[in-house]
Amino acid sequence: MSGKKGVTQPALHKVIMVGSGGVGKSALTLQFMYDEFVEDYEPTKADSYRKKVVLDGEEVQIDILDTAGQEDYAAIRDNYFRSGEGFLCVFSITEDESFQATQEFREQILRVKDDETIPLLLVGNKCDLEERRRVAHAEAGARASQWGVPYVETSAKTRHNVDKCFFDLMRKISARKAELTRGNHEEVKEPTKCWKCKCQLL
Amino acid sequence: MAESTNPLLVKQLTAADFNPARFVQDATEQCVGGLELRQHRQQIQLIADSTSNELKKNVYRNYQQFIHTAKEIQYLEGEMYQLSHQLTEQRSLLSSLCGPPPATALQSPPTEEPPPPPTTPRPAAPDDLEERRRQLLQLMERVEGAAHIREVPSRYQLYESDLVELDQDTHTALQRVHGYLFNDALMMAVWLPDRRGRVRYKFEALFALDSVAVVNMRDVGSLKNAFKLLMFPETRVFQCATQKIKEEWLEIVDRTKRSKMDAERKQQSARQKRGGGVAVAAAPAESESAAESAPAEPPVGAAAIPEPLFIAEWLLEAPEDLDVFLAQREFEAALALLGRAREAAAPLPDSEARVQQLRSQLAGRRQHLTEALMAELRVEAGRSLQGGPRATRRALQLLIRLGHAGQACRLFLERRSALLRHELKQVKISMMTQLFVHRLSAVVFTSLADTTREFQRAFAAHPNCASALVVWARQELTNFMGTFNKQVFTAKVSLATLAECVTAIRSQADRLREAGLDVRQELDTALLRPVERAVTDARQKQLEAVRLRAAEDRWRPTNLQHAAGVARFQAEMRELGLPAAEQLPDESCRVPLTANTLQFCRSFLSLATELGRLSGGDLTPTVEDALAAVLLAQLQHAQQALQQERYRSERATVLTNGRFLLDELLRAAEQRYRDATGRPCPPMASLRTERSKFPDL
Repeated sequence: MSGKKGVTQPALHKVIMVGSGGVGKSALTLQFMYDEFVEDYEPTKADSYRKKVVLDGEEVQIDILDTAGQEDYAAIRDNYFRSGEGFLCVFSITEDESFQATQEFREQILRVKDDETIPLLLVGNKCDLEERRRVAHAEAGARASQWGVPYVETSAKTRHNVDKCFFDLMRKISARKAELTRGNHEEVKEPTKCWKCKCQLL
Repeated sequence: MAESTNPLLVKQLTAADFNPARFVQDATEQCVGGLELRQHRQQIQLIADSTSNELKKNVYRNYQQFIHTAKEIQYLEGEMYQLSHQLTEQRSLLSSLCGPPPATALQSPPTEEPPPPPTTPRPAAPDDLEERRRQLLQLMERVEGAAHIREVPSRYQLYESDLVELDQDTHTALQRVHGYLFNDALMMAVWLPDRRGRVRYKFEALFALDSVAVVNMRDVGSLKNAFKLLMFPETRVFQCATQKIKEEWLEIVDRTKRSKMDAERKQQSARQKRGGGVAVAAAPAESESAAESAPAEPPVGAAAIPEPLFIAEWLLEAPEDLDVFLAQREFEAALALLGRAREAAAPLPDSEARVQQLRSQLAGRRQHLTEALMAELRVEAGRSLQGGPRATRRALQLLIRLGHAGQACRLFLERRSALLRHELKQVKISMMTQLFVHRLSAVVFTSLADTTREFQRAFAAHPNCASALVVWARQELTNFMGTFNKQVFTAKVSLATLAECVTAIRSQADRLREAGLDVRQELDTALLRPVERAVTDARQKQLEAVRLRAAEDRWRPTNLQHAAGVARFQAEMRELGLPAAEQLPDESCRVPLTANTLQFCRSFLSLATELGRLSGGDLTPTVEDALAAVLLAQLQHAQQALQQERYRSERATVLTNGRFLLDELLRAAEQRYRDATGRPCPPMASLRTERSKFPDL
C-alpha cells in the first residue's frame, strides 16, 4: 500500500472464508460482524464485509470475503483466493465430508498463493452440536499440525471462539506483513545493486 | 468595545438594495483616519461571526431535515438517471423502428436459453437473437473503442447500468463508468465528460464471466450498493445507484454464469455422446425402421455411467425434449428417446431425489405420448377417416411398443369398423341386386382382408390379441349377412341371381382365407337356413310347373316348321349340352320330343346349374334331393301317360321322351352339376333305375 493511504487509513487485513457449502462460513462471518446468528440457510454467492476493530491496541480494518461454497468455475475460485491475505478454512465437525474437503481447499490456496506460509486457520465449526460430532478433535488437530497451522473449534451459534479465530488470523496476517516489508526492503535493494553492476560493466 | 452589533449597520447590510461598492465608499467617506476604519471593520467582522454562529445553530436545529433532504436529492438523482435512460432507450427503439424495416411484425417466441431478466430498468430484453445483436450494435456505437466486442458472434447484451467506481481501500468515488453485462463477459466503459455525438463512453475493460469473481459488498458506513470485481491482480469496486440495481446485477450475473455453465456441460455431454458413436435421435426419425432401430441400440456413451450419482445431461433434459417431440407430433422420435431414457434411468438408484423426479417425469411423458397416440387412432366425429391403414400404422406400432397392445387393438378395430361403415355408405343401394351384392361383398371382404393383414402385421408379437380380431370379424360378418339376407332372400330375386350372389360371397370368403382369416364356416352357417328355404321354394315351383305342363301335355311331337327352325333347335340343344337331340328332327321338320319335354329340359338344366352353385356342405342333400325330385316328377308324368289308354297311339312318342329324359337330360344335368360342384349327384343317378320303364322299341 502506498504511504499516502497508510496515513489516512488504518491497516487493512483481507480474510477469506473457504470451505464446503453449508459448513457455516456465513454464519461465522455474520456473528463476527453483527453479533447475530442466522438460522436460515441460503447458499452464499459471494459477500464481502469490512469492519474496524482494535487489534492489540491498534485500530485496523478487516475485510472479510465470504465465498460461495459452490462455485463452478475454477478461475473464479482462484480469483477469490488471490485477493486474500489470510484464510479461515472452515469445516463442520458434524460432517466428515466437509473435513475431507479442507485438504483440497488448502491445496488450491497454496497453488494460487504459491506460498507455504500463508496465514491460515483450520476452523471446525458447529462445536455446539457435540452429540452429532463426526470429526474428532484430535483428528482435526492432527491435520492442522501437519499443515503447521492452528486448529480452532468454533460455534457461530454460541459465538464460541468466533472472535478468537478472526483475531488470531489477523495477528498472523499482521506479523506476516511486517516480515514481508522487511523482506521487500532487502529485495528492493538487490535489483538496484544488480542494475548498478550492469552499469559498471557497461 | 461594544459587544452588541450596530443595528443600523445590520440594517444596511441586510437591505434588499445593498450595494457593496457604495457601502465601501460611504464607509471611507464617513470614517476619518485608520482607527475609525479599523473599528468599522471590527464591527463588520462581529456581524459576520454572529451570522456564521447563527447559521451553524440553524443547521444543528434542522439536522434531521438536512439529512432527509440530502437523501431525497440522491434519490431524485437516481430517478433522473433512470428517466434519462428510458428516454434514450425509447429514442433508439423508435429510430430502429423508423430505420430498417422490422424483420417480422409478430415477435417470434424466444429461441435462446437464458431467459431475459424479468425486471430490468432497461426495456424488456429483446426476444430473439437477431434483435439482441442489433441492440448490441447500437450500444457499441455509444462506446468508443468497443468494436471488438462484436467479434464474438454469439455475444449479446443482458444488462447495463451506470456505475461509480470507488477506491477499493478508502471507498471514495473515482470515476463514473457504465457497466455492460453480456452473456459471456462483463464490460466497463468510462463516462466521457465531453460527449461527441452518440459516443458517450470509452471502452475500459472486459472481464470474462467465467474467470472474474463478482462479490457483493455489504453496506458499511458510507459504502452502499456496491459490488466488487476480483480479477487478479486487480480488485475494483463499483457502486450502483440503488439497492435494486445492485441486486439485479448480482442476480443476472449469477444466472448468466449458471446458464453458461449449463451450456458448457451440455456441450461436453454431447461430445461424449458423439464419442460413443450414438447418433442422438434429436432429428425426427422419419421412417419406421429408424424408429424401430433407435431404441434397440443402447446409448453407449450415456448409459456407461461412470459414477452412480452422475446423471447425463441429455437424460435430465429428456422430459423437455419429449415435450417438444410431442408438440411436433414426432412420435417415433419421442418413443425412441423415451426408450433410451428409461433404459438409462433404470440402473440409477431410487434414493436420489433427482432420479425419482426424473422417473415420475418420464412416466408422465409416457402417459402423454400414449394419450396422443390413442387420440390419433380414436374415431372422432368430424375427423376424416381417409388415409387408409397406413395412416394408423404408425400410431398403432408406437402404441404397441409402449406396451398398450390391448388398447391399440381395440382402437384399431373400432377404427376399422368406422371405416367400413363409411365405405358401405358409399355403395349405393342399386336396383340391380346382383350388382349391389357384388359391390357390397367386395367392400366388406376387402375390408376384412385388409384388416386381417394389418392386424397380423401389427400384432404379430401379440397372439393374445388375435381373438379380438376373430370376434370383430364375426360381428362385421353378421352385420353384412343381415344386409345380404334382406337384399337377396326375397321373393323377387330369382334363383339364378341368388345363386350368383351366394357364389360371389363364397369366392370372397375364399379370398379372405388366403389373407389368413377363414370365415367360410360362419358364412355357411349363416347361409344354411335361407338357402335351404330358397332351394325348397325352387323345388316346389318346379314341381308345380311340371304338374301344370303335364295337365296340358298331349304328347305331340314338336313341329319345327322349317329348316331355320331346325337349325335354331339344333343350336339350342347344342348349347344346352344335349347334342343327341340334334339328330332327332326328320325331313318334315318334326322332333319326337314334346314341347313339354323341351321346356322341362331347359328349366331343369338351369336348375341343375343354379342349385349346383348353391350346393355345398349341409345344403348338398337338400339340393340333390330337390333335383332328383323334380326329374322324377317329370318321369312319373311320362310313366302315367304310358298307362293311360288315350295316349296308346302316342306310346312311341312317350317312350322316346322318357328315354330322352333318362339318357340325355340326366347325363347333361349331371354334367352341369358336376361342373358347378365337382361332385356327382347320387340321388339323380339313382333315377337310372327308372330306365327299365321306358324300354327301347
